[in-house]
Amino acid sequence: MVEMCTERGRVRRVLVVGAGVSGLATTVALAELGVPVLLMSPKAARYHRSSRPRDGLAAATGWNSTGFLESADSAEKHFEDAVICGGYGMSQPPLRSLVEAAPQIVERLHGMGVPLQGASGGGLQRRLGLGASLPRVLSLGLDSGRQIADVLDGAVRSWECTGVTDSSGAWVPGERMVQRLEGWVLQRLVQDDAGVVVGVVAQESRSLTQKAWPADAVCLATGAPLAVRARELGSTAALGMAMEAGAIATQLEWAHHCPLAVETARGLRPLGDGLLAHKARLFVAREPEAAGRGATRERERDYAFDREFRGGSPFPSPDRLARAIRAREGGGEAVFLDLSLVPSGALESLLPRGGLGRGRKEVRVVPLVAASQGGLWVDWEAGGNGFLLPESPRNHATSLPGLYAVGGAAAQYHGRAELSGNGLVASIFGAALAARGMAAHRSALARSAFDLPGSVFERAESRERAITERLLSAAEEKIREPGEARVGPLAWVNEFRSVVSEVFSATNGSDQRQEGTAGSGVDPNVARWRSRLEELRQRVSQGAGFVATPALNGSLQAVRELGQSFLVAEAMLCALGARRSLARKSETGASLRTVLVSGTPASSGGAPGQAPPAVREVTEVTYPCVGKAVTCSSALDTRWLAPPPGSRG
Amino acid sequence: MAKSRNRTKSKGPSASVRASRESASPVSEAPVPEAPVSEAAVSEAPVPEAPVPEAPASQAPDDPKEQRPTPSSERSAPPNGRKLTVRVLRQDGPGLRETRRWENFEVALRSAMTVADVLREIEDHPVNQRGNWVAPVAWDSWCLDETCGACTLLVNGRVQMACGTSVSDVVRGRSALVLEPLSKFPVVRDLVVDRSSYGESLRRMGIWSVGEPNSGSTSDVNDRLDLGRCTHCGACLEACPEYGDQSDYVGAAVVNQARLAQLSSGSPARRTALTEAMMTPGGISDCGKAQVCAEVCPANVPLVDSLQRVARSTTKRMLFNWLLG
Repeated sequence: MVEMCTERGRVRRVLVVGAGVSGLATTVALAELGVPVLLMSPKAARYHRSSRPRDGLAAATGWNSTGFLESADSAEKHFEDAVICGGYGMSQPPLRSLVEAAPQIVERLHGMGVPLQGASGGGLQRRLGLGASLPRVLSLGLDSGRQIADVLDGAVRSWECTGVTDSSGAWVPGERMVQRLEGWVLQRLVQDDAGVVVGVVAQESRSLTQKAWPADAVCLATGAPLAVRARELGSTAALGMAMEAGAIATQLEWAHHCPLAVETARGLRPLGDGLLAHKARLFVAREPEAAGRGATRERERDYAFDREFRGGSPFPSPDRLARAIRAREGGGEAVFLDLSLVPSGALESLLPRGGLGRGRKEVRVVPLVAASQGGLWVDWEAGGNGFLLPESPRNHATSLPGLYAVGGAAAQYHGRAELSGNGLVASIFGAALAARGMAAHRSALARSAFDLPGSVFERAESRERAITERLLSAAEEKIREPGEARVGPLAWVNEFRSVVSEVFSATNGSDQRQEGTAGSGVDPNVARWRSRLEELRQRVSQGAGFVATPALNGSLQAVRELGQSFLVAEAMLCALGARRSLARKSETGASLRTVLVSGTPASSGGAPGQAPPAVREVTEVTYPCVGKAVTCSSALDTRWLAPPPGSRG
Repeated sequence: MAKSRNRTKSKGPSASVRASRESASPVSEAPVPEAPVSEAAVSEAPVPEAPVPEAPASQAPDDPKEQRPTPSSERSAPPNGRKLTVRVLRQDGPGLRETRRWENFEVALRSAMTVADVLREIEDHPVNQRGNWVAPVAWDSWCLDETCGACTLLVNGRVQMACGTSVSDVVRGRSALVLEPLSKFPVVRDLVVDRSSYGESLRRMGIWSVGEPNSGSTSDVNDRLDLGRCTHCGACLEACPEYGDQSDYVGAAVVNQARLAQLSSGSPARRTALTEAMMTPGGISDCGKAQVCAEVCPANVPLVDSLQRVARSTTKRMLFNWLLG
């Protein structure tokens, strides 16, 4: 039994960083377990990247009103689709447990108020999605992510209005089960002498106050790293911070592709896959110059994708579709989406707000990179039958004791590509497991973070304040330098993101063949990307010029986050190289491995004169969990579905 | 007192579209029946030879469809030679009214530029019109996809989302783009304001759903999806003549969230509690029925509908309470 309060009446909380779907779901799960939570988000509540277009929830079986299974779908088929879509690149027990739990997760969300459309004949309306052989995506339209997040946000709100009782049953005055810290930006993890994560240092973005927050466990729900379309690098920096502290990352070499993005009057916007499920068809325009305005004539259309993907069952995975479209673009052709058969109700809910112009029946599509599929390596523990043990403290634990990760920030379920609708379900499934893990970790602590000497946190705070001082004074000097090119650090963030985007576009599914570099083992592109990143890192470490402000300094935040992101970019390049070697060796279908990478400590930090970040591949992880040492290898557990020989490694 | 005006702007999917959404049964194993649609007739035959009529003249003059979008850099469209003057109302920090000032910037105009793109250009090159290196204009943003609601501000006096406003729609010829922070919220810095009063109202009034919703009928779910389109941007609060320092009114967004929570709650006690919350000071009785909220809502949430229904249910509740002493 955990003492809820310290002697001085401070409530022993755990910390969740990030208030999108993953963070909100973790917070609700923790509160329901009786664990008080500190929920930290860099922006105000209800503004998060989960608002980005998301496709919905995937769940296989459901019961209709007469008590029968409503379709020919099953958890086994859902599992098979997901494994194939992900290129066999994940351990199967967590994924299997996820798809088995998916229907209950949908029921739970439905019960919490998420509006899900019923189908005639009972049950819920489902549609096809990328990677799926049967319709199983429950969709709320393009803002599925935000509507689900809003319902979870309401649940968090109810816990924000619920008091905390101490072990004697008395209310702790002024405390609530969930306390929100809005506008606080994560800057560093705080660890004790044994390396256990005992809190974080964060900066309040408005007042620029920096403070150390103790926590009996920390969960990173910061989103997928190496996000290319975001303005800020918070999710990448969070992974960088964890790796700097010794955490292991995995699957960074794979990217989350949005194969279909359209040009609207307000810029490029991603489309989900919902339109494909509603009879939109892809075609290649033989004469792309003639197309673009108005309708392409029938004879100039080649519905090549119907042939390439064998009539559409299963729908191709997002990265395969993205690769096919990129191949066409590379050959000078243009790919369009024919919307003429899509019902207008579907068009209305599935087209982005920018709109496409009245009466447009076809639109050019291009693939976009969203972010990396990878993130922090997290553990899992299964029972004899191969299904996860829900009470295990190992589920969603990273290799740093006390640090958990959920959602995009962790890499566990999806492998090479996410099956349509699995992302949101995985966030919520992972949240429930991580909450239990964090509760177990908290109960087993020999000494709570709140009982540590204050000096641990004061030291961490002073260190971060010193970094801020250094960055501000360097910034001031830089401004006064004559002839300094008038480019702010926010432009450097753009440069970083464009290198990452280029890497992911160029390597889209191509790592099983070394084009043009057979045998050499070194890709000249990788060297070029590395040197661009190194040049940028040098510029950043020499100091950025920007104006200090009494409140809100986006430039200061950008410089810091950039400094912590180079380690992640290097990790991604290292993973790419390792994946290529693995692919070369896998011709005979040898057991699949995930690529694990570790950064050597103190390899980033952005101070001038520091060496470039060094990352190495590791083949196993050993970490302490609730007092026991656990060792996991990089070999994937493919106990149910063995990859066919010669499949994508 | 504002007169109620006929609104022509749609406050949600039109009845005919909603009907077609209900009757079309999207993808299950049965073949999809061809639902009657309210727009141009759709047939199984391939696209007819006659070309689709060109985009109407109200489209942006620099047609983005001409551009070949490149995957890696969305902002790579070349500048078209025109310069845009941007006037920004700045303030250095919360409460620092003496630092309020206008500052001008010049930005190279590209086609398909949004206000968000303009602000990002200024961030990349934070040099004002006089050639001075300044702190970049601070502005709130997150998704840049018109779905999260963070980047609401005043563009040429009207409340808009920065990522949802094309520059060419609001600027004609050589006139300047004028950017100001929302006026109904305390300024934090430049264009960033503190909208936490919205979250406070949601907490104070206990707006969340409890218990499994009873009705799963298609139209009920559609209603909830429509109300749930709210991105919490605050445009309705900005535009509402009743919302502000002079009144306790919580605003259309909060009332809408209360209605959504009611529709999503199975517990009758919770539904009643929400109605009663709307009867407290600052609740629905402060709505002046100007209906400007629905006009400015970027997500087309049927706000007027929500407000009317909540008003009716609070009236009924009041009578109920009165009759039972």
